[in-house]
Amino acid sequence: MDRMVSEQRHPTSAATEKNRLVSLGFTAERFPAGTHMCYIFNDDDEILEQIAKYVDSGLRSNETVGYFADVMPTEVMRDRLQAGGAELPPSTEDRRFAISPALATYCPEGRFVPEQMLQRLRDTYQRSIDAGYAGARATGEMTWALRGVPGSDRLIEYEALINTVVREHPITAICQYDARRFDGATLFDVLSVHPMMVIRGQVMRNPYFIEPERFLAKHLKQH
Amino acid sequence: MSGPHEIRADILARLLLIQETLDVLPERESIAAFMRRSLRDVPGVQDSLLYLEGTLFPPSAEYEETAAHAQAAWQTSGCCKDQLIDGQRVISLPLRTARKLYGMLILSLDDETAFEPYRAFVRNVNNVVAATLEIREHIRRLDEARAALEAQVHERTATLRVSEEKFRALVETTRDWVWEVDAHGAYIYSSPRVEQLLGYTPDEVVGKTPFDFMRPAEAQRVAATFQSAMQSAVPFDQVINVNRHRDGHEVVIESSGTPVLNELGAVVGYRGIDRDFTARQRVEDALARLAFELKEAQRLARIGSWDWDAVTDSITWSEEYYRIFGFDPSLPPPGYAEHLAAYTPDSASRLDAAVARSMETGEGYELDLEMASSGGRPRWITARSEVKRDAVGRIVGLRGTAEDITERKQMQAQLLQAQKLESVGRLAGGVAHDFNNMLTAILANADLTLLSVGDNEEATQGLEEIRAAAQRSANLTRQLLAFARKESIAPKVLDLNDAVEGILKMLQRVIGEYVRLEWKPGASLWNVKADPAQIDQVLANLAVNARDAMTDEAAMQGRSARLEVATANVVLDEAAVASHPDCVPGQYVMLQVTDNGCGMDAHTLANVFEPFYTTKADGHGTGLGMATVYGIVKQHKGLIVIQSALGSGTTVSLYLPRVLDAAAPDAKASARPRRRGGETILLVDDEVSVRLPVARMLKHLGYRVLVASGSAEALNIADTHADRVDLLLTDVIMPGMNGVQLRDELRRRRPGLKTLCMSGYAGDLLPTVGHLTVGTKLLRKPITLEQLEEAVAQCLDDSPAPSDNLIGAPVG
Repeated sequence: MDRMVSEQRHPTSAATEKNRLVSLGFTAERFPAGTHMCYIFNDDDEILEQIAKYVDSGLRSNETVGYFADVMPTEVMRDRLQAGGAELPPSTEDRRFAISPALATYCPEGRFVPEQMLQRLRDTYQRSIDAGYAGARATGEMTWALRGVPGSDRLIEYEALINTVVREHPITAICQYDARRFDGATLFDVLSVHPMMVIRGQVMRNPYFIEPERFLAKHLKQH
Repeated sequence: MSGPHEIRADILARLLLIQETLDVLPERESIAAFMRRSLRDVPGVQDSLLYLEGTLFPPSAEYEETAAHAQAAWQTSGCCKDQLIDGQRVISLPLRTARKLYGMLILSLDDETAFEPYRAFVRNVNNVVAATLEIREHIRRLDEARAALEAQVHERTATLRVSEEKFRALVETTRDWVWEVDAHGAYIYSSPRVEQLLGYTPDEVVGKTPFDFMRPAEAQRVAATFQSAMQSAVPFDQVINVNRHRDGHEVVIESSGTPVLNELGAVVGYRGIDRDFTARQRVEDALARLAFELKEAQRLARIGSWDWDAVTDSITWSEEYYRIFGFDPSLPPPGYAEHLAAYTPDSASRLDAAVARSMETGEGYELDLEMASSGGRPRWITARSEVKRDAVGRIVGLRGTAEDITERKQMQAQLLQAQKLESVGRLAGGVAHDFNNMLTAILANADLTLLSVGDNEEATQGLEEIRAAAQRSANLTRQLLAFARKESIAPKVLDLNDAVEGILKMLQRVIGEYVRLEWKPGASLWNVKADPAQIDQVLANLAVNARDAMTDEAAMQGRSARLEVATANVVLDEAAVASHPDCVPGQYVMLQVTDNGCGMDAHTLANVFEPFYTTKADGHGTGLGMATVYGIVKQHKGLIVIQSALGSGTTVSLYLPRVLDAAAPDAKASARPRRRGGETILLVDDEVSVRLPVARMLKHLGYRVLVASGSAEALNIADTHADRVDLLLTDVIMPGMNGVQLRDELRRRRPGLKTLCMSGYAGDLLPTVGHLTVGTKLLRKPITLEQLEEAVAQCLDDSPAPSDNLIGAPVG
């Protein structure tokens, strides 16, 4: 009933939404909607436990939630999230919760084009708002970027650009980086483009973060 | 902007974040790359390298040596100097923990002054890196140890599983029921075998107790055993118990169990096996029954068995074997030497030789052996044996039997004695008739001639000697007949005390004055039925033997000769008469004659009743004395026991059956019949040598005599003789009609005819005669004038036939 009522709510403006504080589910602190975080982990159980809370929290907050799975098939990942405590709606209700293969999501045409992906994020957010949801949140397993897909070298650029997208479309995002798969230098770059980072379930403000414009100017100059 | 020597907060924050982030970076390469990128932002740092555990990140030939030296210097001195390389200051900072130096951080500085404020923070980062590496090393070691442990556990588990599977397979395929019960006796495990044993599945059994499958009394009995074992925490073994199968039939089970203890040593249950004992119980019952039957068969047959194993030198005896040899069956069989000692020396020697021969030749033996006895009756066995061989035919021992043949031996001896009696009897009987007739002729003629010789002393002496010789001959014949039990007896109820007292004077004369005669009559003596004359003869014979045994002064060794005659009432039981088949248990009167003479050795004792066996010098004994005593006692259904040993005197005990009738008046006390004459006597005898002298004697005594040579002539005389006939004096054995038949025939013609029979020996006819002669007197040949006078007179004086009493003829 609450959700039905919620769905009948009027869309709010981006500015209002940007000021909305959201619960991430795994920490008591609330963060503004549209927070872009990287989660650097080396423990599968830890990441599953925290992300399941993050997904469950979003659904409970009347947000749409998207999950981009890379390591395991979506069905398995769905089961794991539920086993981790996330109360997911039936798979037919893909408007509220959608779990999709990361590679197919990021590279639908077999090539990673950051602009296209960023537009999909905007569209997703807008559809959610338009549908009367309180907001939108997403999380993706970023190991797809290690598969050598064309365009995956633009990952950091893409991550920097997200920070510009969420200003108008405050979609909350957690990018999952497996420290066992990504090398230290890449992880340092990842830190540069995420204003917030999560280590062992603790959310920290990232001192290495560089504003996207400055980072991109420098980054594009180097590359 | 901050000054050159000021510490920037964002830099410190980054350094702190590095410390946080390093922890999630799994590899040294990542750590090194992350650090290098992080340190790039630290003021004054131009570049950095990480020398971790001998590897430089990133690889650099230029700095390889520098890093190695720096680490070596630090290890030896705890510090290392800064260096100038290509004009740049290069400093080395250790990555270490208290335990280990993990490497060096090599920093190339372009502004040493700008860097200096951050040196301490970078050191901290180094420490975090070292700590992270150490923790990971510990974790790696722990992981390795855990992996090794897990591998070991896995291996042991696999081994255990195999072992358990083997055990389970063993448990589930064994014919026994394997179970475990808790401290309350409830099954907590049951192997599937229970279904075949009791008809219940293991699931049905678990939770129940063994006692749920027993009848209440059996459950109570077994529970007591189980509780006892449990309280003592000891195993129980082969407890037999009876259970009920699901279908109701009884199953005998043999249970064994071992306590299950907890870590404190307390009994928490039992684990064990049950075995179907039903079939074995049946077999054991059958074996026990067979063993019992064998034992009983051995007892009844008086055959004991034994088995000797030469290899182990062990021997087993059956219970009957123990009994035969008189050994305690609760003890092991005695050794061979002790066993041999159970026989007489001769038998032991024969047995020993037979055993040796068997072991040498492999042939068995069968021997009749006499066992050593301590003064008791001799005992005999038949020993049979065969050798035992192993699979290849070697002799490995002996097995055999011993059959107690004592009774058979006794029966054989008695049969032999009976045969002897029979042959002697036939001999005596065969000659007695004619012999007594001849003696009658001799005695009668001698007596008649004596009457006529007057004062001619020489003739008188000669006739007396003829007469004495004839009397001795008559005695000899009579003793032979007595021994052979062919003598006709005239038994009557009498008191033995009276009989003995009547002959004491005669006995004293027989034994002589130097032997003291002691008479010990038993009180309230029971009556017996016996021929008094034969009792006299028995006592006389025993007295003569006793006298002879006490005449040897050397043998007497200074003892004064003493003969004791005693009587007593005795009751003989089964055991007492066991060796006397003619006798039955009951009340007897004992007549005992004891002397303190030289006694008899075993050989003499064994032959004492043999006819013509004598220890006396030639001419001093007939060898018929004891044989006669034996015959008389047997004829009276009595028994005789002799105890004697060399130098210890002899005791002869006669036992005569008690009769309840009152004693007859003493015949000897009756008045002597007066002499008669004038009566007519019909004398019948087929033997002329008897007929004529007897006729002459009768005439001499004043009787009228009608003489017939046989029955036909006698009947003719009776028919033709007009006057009365007072007495029939007839021989018993005659051709044609015998004397008894003649009497009966004559009594039909002349009722009330008194009869006096004469007989030399009536043989087998005597019982018949005896039956028919109730009221008829019998005069034994040979006949003297005196005997004839007394018998005829007594007969004539008696009441008319047939109420006359039968009076035995005197023994002379």
